[in-house]
Amino acid sequence: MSAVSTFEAGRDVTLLDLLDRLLDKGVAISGDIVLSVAGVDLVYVGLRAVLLGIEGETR
Amino acid sequence: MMWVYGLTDAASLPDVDGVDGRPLELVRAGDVGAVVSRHDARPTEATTETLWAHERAVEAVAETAAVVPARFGTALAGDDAVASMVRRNREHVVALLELVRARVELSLRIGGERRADAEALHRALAGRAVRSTSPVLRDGTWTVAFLVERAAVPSFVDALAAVAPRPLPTLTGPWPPYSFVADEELAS
Repeated sequence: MSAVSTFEAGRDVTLLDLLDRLLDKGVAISGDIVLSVAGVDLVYVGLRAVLLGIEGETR
Repeated sequence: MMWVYGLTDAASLPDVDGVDGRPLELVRAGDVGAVVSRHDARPTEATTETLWAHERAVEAVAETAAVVPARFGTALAGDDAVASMVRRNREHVVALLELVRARVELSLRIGGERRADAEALHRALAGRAVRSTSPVLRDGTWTVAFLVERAAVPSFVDALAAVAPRPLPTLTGPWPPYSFVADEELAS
Protein backbone atom coordinates (compact mmCIF):
# COMPACT_ATOMS: atom_id res chain seq x y z
CA MET A 1 0.00 0.00 0.00
CA SER A 2 1.48 3.27 -1.06
CA ALA A 3 1.80 6.09 1.42
CA VAL A 4 0.84 8.53 -1.29
CA SER A 5 -2.81 9.31 -1.83
CA THR A 6 -3.36 8.16 -5.36
CA PHE A 7 -6.33 6.98 -7.45
CA GLU A 8 -8.40 7.21 -4.29
CA ALA A 9 -8.24 10.98 -4.03
CA GLY A 10 -11.27 12.76 -2.71
CA ARG A 11 -14.00 13.43 -5.20
CA ASP A 12 -13.41 17.18 -4.92
CA VAL A 13 -9.73 16.93 -5.82
CA THR A 14 -10.52 14.57 -8.65
CA LEU A 15 -13.17 16.93 -9.93
CA LEU A 16 -10.75 19.85 -9.77
CA ASP A 17 -8.27 17.88 -11.87
CA LEU A 18 -11.05 16.90 -14.25
CA LEU A 19 -12.06 20.54 -14.69
CA ASP A 20 -8.47 21.63 -15.26
CA ARG A 21 -8.04 19.06 -17.96
CA LEU A 22 -11.30 19.07 -19.86
CA LEU A 23 -11.85 22.81 -19.97
CA ASP A 24 -8.33 24.10 -20.55
CA LYS A 25 -6.48 21.22 -22.10
CA GLY A 26 -7.08 18.62 -24.72
CA VAL A 27 -6.57 19.22 -28.40
CA ALA A 28 -8.29 22.32 -29.78
CA ILE A 29 -10.21 22.15 -33.03
CA SER A 30 -10.53 25.48 -34.77
CA GLY A 31 -13.11 26.73 -37.20
CA ASP A 32 -16.68 25.47 -37.20
CA ILE A 33 -16.94 25.13 -33.46
CA VAL A 34 -20.50 25.25 -32.22
CA LEU A 35 -19.54 26.10 -28.67
CA SER A 36 -17.43 29.23 -28.66
CA VAL A 37 -14.53 29.93 -26.34
CA ALA A 38 -16.73 32.48 -24.63
CA GLY A 39 -19.34 29.77 -24.11
CA VAL A 40 -16.78 27.50 -22.51
CA ASP A 41 -15.71 30.31 -20.21
CA LEU A 42 -19.30 30.71 -19.06
CA VAL A 43 -19.55 26.97 -18.55
CA TYR A 44 -16.41 27.14 -16.43
CA VAL A 45 -17.91 29.75 -14.10
CA GLY A 46 -20.97 27.57 -13.62
CA LEU A 47 -18.91 24.49 -12.91
CA ARG A 48 -16.81 26.23 -10.32
CA ALA A 49 -20.01 26.90 -8.43
CA VAL A 50 -20.80 23.20 -8.57
CA LEU A 51 -17.32 22.43 -7.33
CA LEU A 52 -17.64 24.74 -4.35
CA GLY A 53 -20.97 23.15 -3.52
CA ILE A 54 -19.44 19.70 -3.46
CA GLU A 55 -16.57 20.84 -1.27
CA GLY A 56 -19.04 22.42 1.11
CA GLU A 57 -20.95 19.16 1.47
CA THR A 58 -17.85 17.22 2.43
CA ARG A 59 -16.75 19.60 5.15
CA MET B 1 -24.47 18.67 -34.05
CA MET B 2 -21.54 16.39 -33.34
CA TRP B 3 -19.91 16.48 -29.93
CA VAL B 4 -16.22 15.59 -30.27
CA TYR B 5 -14.51 13.48 -27.60
CA GLY B 6 -11.22 12.88 -29.29
CA LEU B 7 -9.31 11.40 -32.20
CA THR B 8 -8.30 7.79 -32.40
CA ASP B 9 -7.04 4.97 -34.56
CA ALA B 10 -9.55 2.58 -32.98
CA ALA B 11 -11.37 0.38 -35.48
CA SER B 12 -14.45 0.10 -33.28
CA LEU B 13 -15.83 1.66 -30.14
CA PRO B 14 -16.82 0.28 -26.74
CA ASP B 15 -20.51 0.26 -25.86
CA VAL B 16 -20.45 3.40 -23.73
CA ASP B 17 -22.82 6.35 -23.73
CA GLY B 18 -21.53 9.87 -24.16
CA VAL B 19 -22.85 13.27 -23.16
CA ASP B 20 -26.61 13.35 -22.47
CA GLY B 21 -26.73 9.56 -22.83
CA ARG B 22 -26.08 9.73 -26.57
CA PRO B 23 -24.26 6.74 -28.09
CA LEU B 24 -20.68 7.12 -29.25
CA GLU B 25 -20.01 7.01 -32.96
CA LEU B 26 -16.78 6.69 -34.87
CA VAL B 27 -16.36 8.91 -37.93
CA ARG B 28 -13.38 7.55 -39.77
CA ALA B 29 -11.43 8.99 -42.64
CA GLY B 30 -8.85 6.41 -43.60
CA ASP B 31 -6.85 5.05 -40.68
CA VAL B 32 -7.86 7.67 -38.12
CA GLY B 33 -11.23 8.81 -36.87
CA ALA B 34 -13.08 11.05 -34.46
CA VAL B 35 -15.13 9.79 -31.53
CA VAL B 36 -18.36 11.77 -31.53
CA SER B 37 -21.96 11.71 -30.39
CA ARG B 38 -24.89 13.09 -32.35
CA HIS B 39 -27.18 15.72 -30.80
CA ASP B 40 -30.28 17.49 -32.08
CA ALA B 41 -29.23 20.59 -30.22
CA ARG B 42 -26.06 21.44 -28.44
CA PRO B 43 -26.00 20.38 -24.81
CA THR B 44 -26.95 23.44 -22.82
CA GLU B 45 -26.13 22.20 -19.37
CA ALA B 46 -22.54 21.53 -18.48
CA THR B 47 -22.82 19.72 -15.20
CA THR B 48 -20.44 17.40 -13.43
CA GLU B 49 -22.41 14.62 -15.15
CA THR B 50 -21.64 16.09 -18.56
CA LEU B 51 -17.97 16.37 -17.70
CA TRP B 52 -17.75 12.82 -16.42
CA ALA B 53 -19.66 11.54 -19.45
CA HIS B 54 -17.05 13.13 -21.72
CA GLU B 55 -14.28 11.73 -19.54
CA ARG B 56 -15.75 8.23 -19.36
CA ALA B 57 -16.08 8.10 -23.13
CA VAL B 58 -12.45 9.09 -23.68
CA GLU B 59 -11.25 6.62 -21.04
CA ALA B 60 -13.34 3.77 -22.46
CA VAL B 61 -11.91 4.22 -25.94
CA ALA B 62 -8.41 4.56 -24.48
CA GLU B 63 -8.65 1.09 -22.95
CA THR B 64 -8.03 -0.52 -26.30
CA ALA B 65 -6.70 2.22 -28.57
CA ALA B 66 -4.74 5.45 -28.59
CA VAL B 67 -6.88 8.56 -28.11
CA VAL B 68 -6.02 12.23 -28.44
CA PRO B 69 -8.58 13.83 -26.12
CA ALA B 70 -10.45 16.87 -27.40
CA ARG B 71 -11.10 19.92 -25.31
CA PHE B 72 -14.49 19.80 -23.59
CA GLY B 73 -17.09 21.80 -25.49
CA THR B 74 -15.75 21.06 -28.94
CA ALA B 75 -18.51 20.42 -31.45
CA LEU B 76 -18.81 20.34 -35.21
CA ALA B 77 -21.79 20.80 -37.47
CA GLY B 78 -22.27 17.27 -38.82
CA ASP B 79 -20.78 14.12 -40.33
CA ASP B 80 -19.18 15.95 -43.24
CA ALA B 81 -17.53 18.52 -40.99
CA VAL B 82 -16.12 15.79 -38.76
CA ALA B 83 -14.83 13.67 -41.65
CA SER B 84 -13.29 16.72 -43.26
CA MET B 85 -11.57 17.72 -40.02
CA VAL B 86 -10.13 14.22 -39.60
CA ARG B 87 -8.94 14.11 -43.20
CA ARG B 88 -7.31 17.54 -43.11
CA ASN B 89 -5.39 16.80 -39.93
CA ARG B 90 -4.41 13.20 -40.55
CA GLU B 91 -0.63 13.63 -40.35
CA HIS B 92 -0.87 15.75 -37.22
CA VAL B 93 -3.28 13.33 -35.57
CA VAL B 94 -1.08 10.32 -36.38
CA ALA B 95 1.88 12.07 -34.73
CA LEU B 96 -0.19 12.93 -31.64
CA LEU B 97 -1.51 9.38 -31.41
CA GLU B 98 2.07 8.12 -31.29
CA LEU B 99 2.83 10.60 -28.51
CA VAL B 100 -0.07 9.41 -26.33
CA ARG B 101 -0.16 5.71 -27.20
CA ALA B 102 0.01 3.47 -24.11
CA ARG B 103 0.66 6.54 -21.99
CA VAL B 104 -1.38 8.26 -19.32
CA GLU B 105 -1.28 11.55 -17.51
CA LEU B 106 -0.76 11.83 -13.76
CA SER B 107 -1.58 15.02 -11.91
CA LEU B 108 0.41 16.06 -8.86
CA ARG B 109 -0.92 18.79 -6.54
CA ILE B 110 0.81 20.38 -3.60
CA GLY B 111 -0.07 23.40 -1.46
CA GLY B 112 0.35 26.88 -2.90
CA GLU B 113 2.87 27.89 -0.22
CA ARG B 114 5.15 24.95 -1.12
CA ARG B 115 6.78 26.10 -4.33
CA ALA B 116 10.17 24.60 -3.42
CA ASP B 117 8.56 21.22 -2.72
CA ALA B 118 6.69 21.36 -6.03
CA GLU B 119 9.89 22.12 -7.93
CA ALA B 120 11.86 19.45 -6.08
CA LEU B 121 9.22 16.82 -6.83
CA HIS B 122 9.16 17.83 -10.46
CA ARG B 123 12.95 17.48 -10.66
CA ALA B 124 12.88 14.14 -8.85
CA LEU B 125 10.17 12.59 -11.01
CA ALA B 126 10.58 14.16 -14.45
CA GLY B 127 13.07 11.47 -15.42
CA ARG B 128 10.38 8.82 -14.94
CA ALA B 129 8.03 10.58 -17.32
CA VAL B 130 8.07 10.85 -21.09
CA ARG B 131 7.16 14.50 -20.67
CA SER B 132 6.18 16.75 -17.82
CA THR B 133 4.95 20.28 -17.29
CA SER B 134 6.70 22.76 -15.01
CA PRO B 135 4.82 23.50 -11.77
CA VAL B 136 1.96 25.93 -12.29
CA LEU B 137 0.16 27.75 -9.47
CA ARG B 138 -3.54 27.37 -9.98
CA ASP B 139 -6.51 27.60 -7.62
CA GLY B 140 -4.12 27.89 -4.70
CA THR B 141 -2.15 24.74 -5.44
CA TRP B 142 0.94 23.95 -7.44
CA THR B 143 0.13 21.43 -10.12
CA VAL B 144 2.50 19.33 -12.19
CA ALA B 145 1.42 16.99 -14.98
CA PHE B 146 3.44 13.92 -15.98
CA LEU B 147 3.04 11.85 -19.14
CA VAL B 148 3.88 8.31 -18.05
CA GLU B 149 3.90 4.93 -19.75
CA ARG B 150 0.77 3.17 -18.51
CA ALA B 151 2.86 0.20 -17.43
CA ALA B 152 5.17 2.48 -15.43
CA VAL B 153 2.46 4.02 -13.25
CA PRO B 154 3.08 1.72 -10.24
CA SER B 155 6.81 2.44 -10.22
CA PHE B 156 6.11 6.16 -10.63
CA VAL B 157 3.85 6.05 -7.58
CA ASP B 158 6.49 4.16 -5.59
CA ALA B 159 9.10 6.74 -6.59
CA LEU B 160 6.82 9.55 -5.50
CA ALA B 161 6.12 7.81 -2.20
CA ALA B 162 9.85 7.52 -1.59
CA VAL B 163 10.54 11.24 -1.97
CA ALA B 164 7.24 12.92 -1.08
CA PRO B 165 7.50 15.52 1.69
CA ARG B 166 4.84 15.84 4.42
CA PRO B 167 2.06 16.74 4.31
CA LEU B 168 1.76 14.45 1.34
CA PRO B 169 0.99 15.84 -2.08
CA THR B 170 -2.01 14.47 -3.95
CA LEU B 171 -1.69 12.43 -7.10
CA THR B 172 -4.69 11.74 -9.34
CA GLY B 173 -4.96 9.65 -12.44
CA PRO B 174 -4.47 7.97 -14.66
CA TRP B 175 -5.98 10.59 -16.94
CA PRO B 176 -6.04 10.74 -20.72
CA PRO B 177 -3.08 12.93 -21.73
CA TYR B 178 -5.05 16.20 -21.98
CA SER B 179 -2.18 18.39 -20.80
CA PHE B 180 0.22 17.11 -23.41
CA VAL B 181 -1.93 17.93 -26.41
CA ALA B 182 -3.18 21.26 -25.02
CA ASP B 183 -0.96 23.37 -27.29
CA GLU B 184 -2.03 21.53 -30.40
CA GLU B 185 -4.67 22.90 -32.72
CA LEU B 186 -6.46 21.08 -35.51
CA ALA B 187 -8.05 22.93 -38.39
CA SER B 188 -11.67 22.12 -39.07
